[in-house]
Amino acid sequence: MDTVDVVVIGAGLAGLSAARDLLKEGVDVVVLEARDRVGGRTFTVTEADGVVVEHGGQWVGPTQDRALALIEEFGLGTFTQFSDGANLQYSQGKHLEYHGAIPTGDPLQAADLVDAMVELTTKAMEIDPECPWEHPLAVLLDSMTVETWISSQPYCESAKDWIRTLCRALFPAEPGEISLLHALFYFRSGGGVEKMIGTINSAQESRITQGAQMLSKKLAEIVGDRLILEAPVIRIDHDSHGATIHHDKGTISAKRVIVAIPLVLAGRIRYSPPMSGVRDQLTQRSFMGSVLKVHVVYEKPFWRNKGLSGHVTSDCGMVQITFDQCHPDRPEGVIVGFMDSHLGRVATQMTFEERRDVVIEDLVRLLGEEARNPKAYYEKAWIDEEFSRGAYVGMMTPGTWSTLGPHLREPVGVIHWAGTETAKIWNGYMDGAIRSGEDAAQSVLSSLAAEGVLK
Amino acid sequence: MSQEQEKVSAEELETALREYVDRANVSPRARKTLLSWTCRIHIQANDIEDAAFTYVVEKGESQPISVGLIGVPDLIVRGQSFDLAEIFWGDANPVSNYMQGAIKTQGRAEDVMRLDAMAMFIFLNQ
Repeated sequence: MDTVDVVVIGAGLAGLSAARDLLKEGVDVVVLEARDRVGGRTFTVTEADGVVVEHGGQWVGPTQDRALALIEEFGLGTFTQFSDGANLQYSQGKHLEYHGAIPTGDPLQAADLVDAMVELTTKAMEIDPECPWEHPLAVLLDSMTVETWISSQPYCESAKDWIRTLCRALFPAEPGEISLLHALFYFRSGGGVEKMIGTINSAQESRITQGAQMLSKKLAEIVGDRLILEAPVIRIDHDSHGATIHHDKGTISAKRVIVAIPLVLAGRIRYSPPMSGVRDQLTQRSFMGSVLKVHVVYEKPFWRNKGLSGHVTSDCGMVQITFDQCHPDRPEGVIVGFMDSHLGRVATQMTFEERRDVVIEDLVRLLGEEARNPKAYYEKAWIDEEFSRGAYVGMMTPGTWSTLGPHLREPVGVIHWAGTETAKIWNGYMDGAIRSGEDAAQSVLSSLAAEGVLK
Repeated sequence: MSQEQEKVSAEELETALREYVDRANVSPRARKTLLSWTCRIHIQANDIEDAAFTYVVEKGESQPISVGLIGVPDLIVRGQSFDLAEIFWGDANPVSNYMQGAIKTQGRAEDVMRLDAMAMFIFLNQ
């Protein structure tokens, strides 16, 4: 049986970032990855027709400093998300054009939305992302769902519907599934609602030219042969001296373990001795977002000729959010669409052909008849992925942050936790994943140093 | 927009800013939503001389504009004179992709957001 200093479980951005930092300090590391690839919830595929498909996370923006630093360090390029022309809001059967993050086609609705942005961001900035449970109103905010909050506001119905669509797109979860405390924590971690929903100067500002998964591939090159693919972890035996990790390809002993996978999946590993009741209750109350992401490919980006940016929000249909997904090195026009939250779950119960047909019908309604005959259609149902069970991010049910939150990041003996769900900044984003991995590596280094294992 | 780098004079910009303050103070949405907001803002046009102003919002109420940069700002706003004037005239969407790129702000995200909100309410005539 191999013995190393640290085993990292999960070769997404969190796990690989942790491994890299440990290797830098001369720590002997092995990374175990369940899939046959690295990248976790980033997954870039160049299809046979040359189309670059970003099945997973794809955007970076200002203040996502760790992701931007890695991009620079690895010599990767970025390009600006196309946002020229008008965005479209499809609301109550009408197409309303607007520019920027907030739809302005209906002034009353727009004023309500501005009000909501201010209200939510102001509340969010009162949350300490290190410890949301310590907010004086944490229990109250955590007992209230986002839907409760929306319903109680004096906004017009179309504004409320747009906020619901926004919620499904951002988390992606139904407004009735998450607590207001979780939403506020999430907004706080991303610097405010406006920064999270826009393109210019915002979270959707840029994409990585070589694809988002390239960050993980570059990190994996550093880890080299210390990475073992197709090795899902079954059981972790642990005591105060170290752990023995049982996986599909064998067994490894380590002084420390970093579990860098979503809480839901971390809860499916068998631990001996078992996790404490409170830690297990936490993982029981975590759930992954539901999303089915589609790429629809056309000869040309026809919407641009109509003065449209390709970014659409809709209050009906299966696809309620789209963006222009063209790649600067490619001639074809690509629209990326999201079937979020419950719509994503409904979509996975359709056949591939049924899904493709409803997606195309939605795009025809939103962008015009030119959307009728795409060259190609690609999709990824993240909820069907055995080693993600959803995307973009894991969340907690109402009442969980305020009662079990302190157990989210707290190491359990020699076992440390990482993953974007544990991030304090840009939680749920690629940047948050990197930060969480780096934080976990520091935590492990400190504990090894305290034991005298490291100088 | 200022694709051809149109300019307005410092006097025109000051007038636009004073009118903006008047509109902000009679905007029911701005007064209600920004009721608790206090902020000292320095505004500078970077393409014309002597176009620097201090704009103070005290508990949601906009105070008369001062010429020059006075006191320590909570927020600094810089841009081309025409882009700034377009926002103060209420002619341009302050959160449009163009303006988000053209106007540079320096300060806390919450203050930027509130200034955007105030300008949006005026743009929307709300």
